[in-house]
Amino acid sequence: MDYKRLGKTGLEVSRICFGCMSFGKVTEERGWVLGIDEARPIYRRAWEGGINFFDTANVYAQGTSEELTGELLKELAPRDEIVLATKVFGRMRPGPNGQGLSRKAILSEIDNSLDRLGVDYVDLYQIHRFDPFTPYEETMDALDEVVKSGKARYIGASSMWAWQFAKYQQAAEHNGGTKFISMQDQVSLVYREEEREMLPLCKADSIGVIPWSPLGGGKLTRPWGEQTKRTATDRYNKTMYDKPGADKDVVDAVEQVAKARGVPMAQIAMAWVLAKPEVTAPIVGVSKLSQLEDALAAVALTLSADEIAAIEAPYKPIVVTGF
Amino acid sequence: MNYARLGRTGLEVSRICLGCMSFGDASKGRQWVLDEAQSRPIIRAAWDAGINFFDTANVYSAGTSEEIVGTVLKELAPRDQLVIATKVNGEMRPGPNGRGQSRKAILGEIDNSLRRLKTDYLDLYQIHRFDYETPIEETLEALDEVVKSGKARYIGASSMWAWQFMKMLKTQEANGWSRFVSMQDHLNLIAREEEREMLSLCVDQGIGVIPWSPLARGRLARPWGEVTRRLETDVFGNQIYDANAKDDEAVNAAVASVARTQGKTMAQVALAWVLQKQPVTAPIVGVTKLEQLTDAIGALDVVLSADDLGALEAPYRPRAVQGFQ
Repeated sequence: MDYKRLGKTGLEVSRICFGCMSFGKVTEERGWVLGIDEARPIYRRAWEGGINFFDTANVYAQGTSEELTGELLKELAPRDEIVLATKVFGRMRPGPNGQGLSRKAILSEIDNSLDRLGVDYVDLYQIHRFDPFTPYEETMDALDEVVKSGKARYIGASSMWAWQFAKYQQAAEHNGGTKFISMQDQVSLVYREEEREMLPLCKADSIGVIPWSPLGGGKLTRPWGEQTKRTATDRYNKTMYDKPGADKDVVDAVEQVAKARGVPMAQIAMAWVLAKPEVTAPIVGVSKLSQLEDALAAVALTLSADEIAAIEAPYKPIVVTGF
Repeated sequence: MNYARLGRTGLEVSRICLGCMSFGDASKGRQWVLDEAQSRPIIRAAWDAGINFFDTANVYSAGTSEEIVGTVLKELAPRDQLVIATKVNGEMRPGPNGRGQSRKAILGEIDNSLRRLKTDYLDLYQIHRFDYETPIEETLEALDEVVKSGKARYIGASSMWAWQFMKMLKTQEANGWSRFVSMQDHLNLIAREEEREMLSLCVDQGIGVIPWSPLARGRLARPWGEVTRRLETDVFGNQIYDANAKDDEAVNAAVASVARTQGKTMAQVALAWVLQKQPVTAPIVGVTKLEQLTDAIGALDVVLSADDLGALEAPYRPRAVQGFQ
């Protein structure tokens, strides 16, 4: 496993971040979620494969992803060897203040997340989207307090407009508070809209980029047209990717390069994300050990300039999705 | 004529801004531009129709656009009734410091523009794109000095990435410097990428938007396939629109169809779409014939229904951003 500093911090993270959204208590909404017994060997293999970076969120499977992740990581390694990331924003209970990035919501949700994870601190506390109803300064001040009180080592953000991210950063800078060190956004061969604004911003300001859906929700891992349980049942996935566009041509190009190399398509698609200079670590969600093996193998796979050109060429700009 | 405040300022500008890139010396690069004698009746007609807002740039035909605009406006109206805008960034001479947004370039170029425009001050001094080679603090402090020294009433920016613009605005605020009041960016029915980030930023920050190429350099003003001198010789225009010609033909057809139903010209419909967009203050309309000016002014009376907007917007496909880097 290779490790890289997250943005301009000193924090070392594995170049694959283990995405914990696929684990927790099975619900109707997420038919593919795995429970703790199925999850245990996967977490173990991740840790043994050198992955030290684990990403979850308060909302994943209504808090049960955090519970499961906390429990399994405790079995695996001392706390200080793990880089643990979670997020705040989504609705955790009905009614007022049950959601969002107000001072009230953040200062409660950090404690709830620490409880569920069974830890005293998280390494990276991320805002899970932009909150249009809370002043930027209020959010940044509350996050600064989370850091100063020792409950989080660093703070990060996730998918939003680049100008909003710049505005958050300036609000923190103006108040002399803690700034975001990372951006968790959507980057894959079938979703390259972040190349327009967000990635150049992250490059200019040395923000670490930890992309979600690096394999396009699985679309890039198999020849066009093959179905899985997740593509059939994941409604969010459907709304994001089932649009006409150049996707088929991109998937075909990945298939060709993978065939020529004699490796699975997932490795080619992941290697492309890893090769982007702004990217620190793609977030990989797996439900099978073989998927994890592909991700681990991709770290050592270097694509040639010709291969990159071939898999990039078919892409056409598309409407922004995912936030 | 209708007037609107430019962004959060008190400045009143006509809802059509006359784009003066079409005026200048045709030997300086833009072959379709009009000389002083040809420009005079157009600028006069604009003023007579109530247009008080004129936009040029130091680089337009190597300074000759500013010279013509300065000469003709002086004949037409007292200085305080005019809102004159120009820009700085492009190369005005070869060699070091001949372009860009360094303190040296800005403080030199503002004086050159004032001399060519024959005026003591500008109403709006805009940076003509982002300068990657100069620290933004240096540029913004120099622009503040331009305002404080009385050489410009307001400052504005033009096409750049939204995150760059946000960074500049916040840097101005943090330092107490004059703040940009306007964004001159690329917006029309076949260039709608600014809907993604920049327009919402401008709403959020109270910035006036004055779009360039609101008719896509004529591509939305006439049936697809009709050739003009400009279409044949405008290198920049061909570079920014040709990649999506197939999608754009469908937009063009939608404009023609709404125009037929409304009994208006295509240009009026296309311009009315820009005018209704939030937070557009005034599209910048370039004119080389008097009937184009009449067309533009007529657009202010066009009311597009929700169905019209739906029909005009439906064929558009997202595309790579063009017009700056």
